[in-house]
Amino acid sequence: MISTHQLKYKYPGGNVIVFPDISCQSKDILLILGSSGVGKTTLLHLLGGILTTQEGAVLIDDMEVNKLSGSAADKFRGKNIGIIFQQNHFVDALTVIENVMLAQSLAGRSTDKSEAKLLLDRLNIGDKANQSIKNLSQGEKTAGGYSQSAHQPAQTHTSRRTNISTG
Amino acid sequence: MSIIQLAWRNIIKNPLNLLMSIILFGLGVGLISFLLLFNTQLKDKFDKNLADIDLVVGAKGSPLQMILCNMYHIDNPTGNISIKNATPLLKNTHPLIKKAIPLSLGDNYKSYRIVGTNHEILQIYGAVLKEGTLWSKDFEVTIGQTVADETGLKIGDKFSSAHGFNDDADLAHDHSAFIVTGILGGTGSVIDQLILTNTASIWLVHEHEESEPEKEDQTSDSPEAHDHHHDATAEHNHDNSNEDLINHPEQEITSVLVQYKNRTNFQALNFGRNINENTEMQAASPAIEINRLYSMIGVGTDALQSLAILIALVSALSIFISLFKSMRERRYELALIRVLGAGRTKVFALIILEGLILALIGFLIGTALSHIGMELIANYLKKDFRYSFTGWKFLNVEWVVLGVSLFLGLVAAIIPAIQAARTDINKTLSEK
Repeated sequence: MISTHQLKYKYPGGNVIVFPDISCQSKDILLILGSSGVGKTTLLHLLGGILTTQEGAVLIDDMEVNKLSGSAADKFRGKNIGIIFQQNHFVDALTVIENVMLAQSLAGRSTDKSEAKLLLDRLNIGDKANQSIKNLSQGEKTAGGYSQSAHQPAQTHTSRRTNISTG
Repeated sequence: MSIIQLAWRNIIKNPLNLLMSIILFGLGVGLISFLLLFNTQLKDKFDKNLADIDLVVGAKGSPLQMILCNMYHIDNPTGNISIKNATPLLKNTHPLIKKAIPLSLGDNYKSYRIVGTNHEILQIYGAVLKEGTLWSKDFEVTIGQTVADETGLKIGDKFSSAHGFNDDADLAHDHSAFIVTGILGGTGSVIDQLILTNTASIWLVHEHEESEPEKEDQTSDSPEAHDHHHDATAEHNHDNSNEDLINHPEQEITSVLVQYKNRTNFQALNFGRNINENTEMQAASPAIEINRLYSMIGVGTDALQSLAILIALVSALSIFISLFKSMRERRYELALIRVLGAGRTKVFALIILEGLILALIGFLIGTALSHIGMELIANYLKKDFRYSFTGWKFLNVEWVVLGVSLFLGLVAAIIPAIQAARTDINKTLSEK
């Protein structure tokens, strides 16, 4: 479950952005719409602990994300939150499957190659597993980005993980 | 996928940068390590061969040349001295002298020097007989271990010497057969490279040589030499004592190695100066001459060392620049790694590791280069310095070189690493 309470954020030299309280139950999907510059990405970054909350509270599965210290927030994010970016980013030095395994390892779990392969198969890019990121088409890159954010077999990640996406 | 693996993959992703950094680093480390290897072994060689000799007395000329020739067997002799002049030194009643060891040089076998001397030379180099017996009769020789290993001479083998110090077939005395009676154990000092015999054998080889063309003109043959010649053919044998030498005042030797009874004795301190001022001979202290040589070599070594340090610093700078540059290219990657759960310390460690790995590879390449290089030139040096240099000897100080290398890698990586750890992921991800 995700919920926010009286969340506000102010960039240096900018206006205070006031966010309406939101609430999203487990297995629900929430769509946030808004015109350019109202703070959609800022909200997502606050939810993911990428930005430090200045005022208000963010709760994910009863964890007050805004109270976590820097490294605890990094760990919590790695373990519990999947983020798919507008622009897909990868570690260029690694192959497709190694990018997925890197995500597994940074989430604090042991790497599992067969699990990573299964995930890529489900996203229809299993045949590109051992290729360089450069060889992926735009669409395949999006799938690759999803695979990094998921990095758990599809049937289990929905129950535990919170995925947020921009775009 | 550990961060060490990730660091490694990032390094090999950019082979040109990698090559540039490690070649520079390898050259710097290689040069430093080579200088250390060379200097250590050279100093070791010089120190080992000082052999507690306090004074060398020989013909007038360059004192350093005389030391190099008579103690290290590198350079040519400054000339010969007559036994008549050297007699005071050779008398065992001399109040200051504990040991006086006469040396006669002039011949070689396959470029190993044949030295006419007495048995005391074994004690000063700590040499022990390994096989056979010591030389006692004329033309009997006892050979050092390196001579035995390299020439394959065995006990009972006969060989002819060649005049001079280089292996030159044209100068062979093909009539004088030396016979090997003993082989010494290895000492690591210059005695391993020598062929030892009695002083008279050296005279006999050369008398024989000189008397041959004189056969037509018998009158020019000096009576002494003639007598001596006669003695030799009558198989008169010279013992190895200094007293025996004194009985031949007309003969010459190359030098006398002197050990004092008491080094700090005031008279001993002036002894060398007296010889230089009042006789036709020259006296020099090995320790002083070798220190002079060190200080001369030292200038070149220092210059090379500075160059090596400069190369190492430039290579550290090149690692810094390549890491710093890659920070810009990799800022999305670093942000991604952060988003995927890596804390700031992990990102910091990643970049530091990249610097350390580059430095480690550079160190390994440099160390390999210096040892292989040392081994390759060891053969040349062996001839010139009469010392078995080796590339397969590792020094403790190389651990220090490793430490300094890693420290340079760390220093080169620290600013990029701080930059990486400070990456504002929100800002980076919100770009464009």
